[in-house]
Amino acid sequence: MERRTFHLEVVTPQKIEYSADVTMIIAPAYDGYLGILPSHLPMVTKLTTGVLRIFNGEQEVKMAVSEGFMEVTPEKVIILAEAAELPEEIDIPRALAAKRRAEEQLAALAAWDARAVRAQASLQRALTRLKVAAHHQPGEKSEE
Amino acid sequence: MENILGIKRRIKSVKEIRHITGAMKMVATTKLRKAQERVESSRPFARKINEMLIDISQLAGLHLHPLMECRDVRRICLVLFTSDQGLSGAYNANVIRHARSFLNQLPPGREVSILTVGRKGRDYFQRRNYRISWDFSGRSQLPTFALSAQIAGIIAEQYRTQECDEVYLIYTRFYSPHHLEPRTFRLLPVLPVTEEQVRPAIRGSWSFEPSPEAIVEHLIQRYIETEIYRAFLEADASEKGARLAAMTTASDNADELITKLIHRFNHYRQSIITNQLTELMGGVESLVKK
Repeated sequence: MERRTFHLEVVTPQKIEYSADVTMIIAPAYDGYLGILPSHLPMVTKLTTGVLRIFNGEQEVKMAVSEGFMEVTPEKVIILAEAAELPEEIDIPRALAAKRRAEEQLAALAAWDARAVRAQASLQRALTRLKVAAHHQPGEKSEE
Repeated sequence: MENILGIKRRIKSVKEIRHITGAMKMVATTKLRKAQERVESSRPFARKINEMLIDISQLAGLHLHPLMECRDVRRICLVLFTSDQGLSGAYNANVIRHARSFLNQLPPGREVSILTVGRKGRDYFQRRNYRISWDFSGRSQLPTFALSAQIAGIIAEQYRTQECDEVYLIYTRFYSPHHLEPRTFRLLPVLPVTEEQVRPAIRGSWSFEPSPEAIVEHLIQRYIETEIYRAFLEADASEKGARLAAMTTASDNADELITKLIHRFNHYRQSIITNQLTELMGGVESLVKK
């Protein structure tokens, strides 16, 4: 019998962010976005900072995740991430400030500087958060 | 007369102390609640990451990671979690006693270096001429993941460069404010598969992307960070719990003392009044006789 759903858990060091049965997810794997359907072959993969899209039937939920792992088994997917946020949890002013700060640092630093790598990562996180939050509040986007 | 004033003064001072312990108790209650929430919500992540590590090391049979390698033990690194502030009952004393008995059990000839988090532990072992290699005292109020990651980085580096051959965490496990238990946990070398944790690995062809080695590398790093973070949170919650318990006892004792003192005060007052009355009666009587 074919499975229609699988169980998804998104866990961060702070708490279990998300736990529910879903039909499909699209996760930011280290080398590009990766779609997972039920009965996927077991695997473990690295995740980067990006948007995690969770589908349950017609419904779609987006989450901003940063750096982590995903363990896939046919009936269960566990995502361990450093941070994961639902759109309503994202602090937009903070993300904007982080983006500005990271951009300033990047402009001032040489590309091979270790600090530039960190700034790049933080820029990536800020952009991901803003992207997820923008979908949640369409009004914000039209203003830009 | 002197005496009654003294009692009065003592009542006042005990009442003031009672105010302070009462306030500290309230503060500890709220802080404890938050700390407890943090501890409990951090446990799933630690458990999951442990599970994942077990799965992977069983599937891929990787015991070759530098941080999993067991060496002859010569040098030991302790990570000791105590608090910065006192007034938390026997909390610090208990962890330190635990650490001492752990150190006493070690076979002779082991070099020990200590990484302390918290002023109390640092002061204690510094006075006894132990080598404090790092110290993270005077940290901000909240244990953060960033700080844990920093500590993790340091000890992983130490282990890789063979500066130490075993790493232990000593912290207080939080069960409830009245049930705290100092614990020792061997962090390095990482040995994820212990007797009770062996689970039947899921059969089938697993794929690891980018590669098992890369996954294990990151997973182990994350595992160390998480374990330190958890120990940190447990220690924090325990400190708050111990303080709450200590302050509750102190407040109760103060209440008891106040009741006793007031009783004594009234007793004195009464005897003084009786005294004065008898004197007055005596005076009146002598007047009447005249």
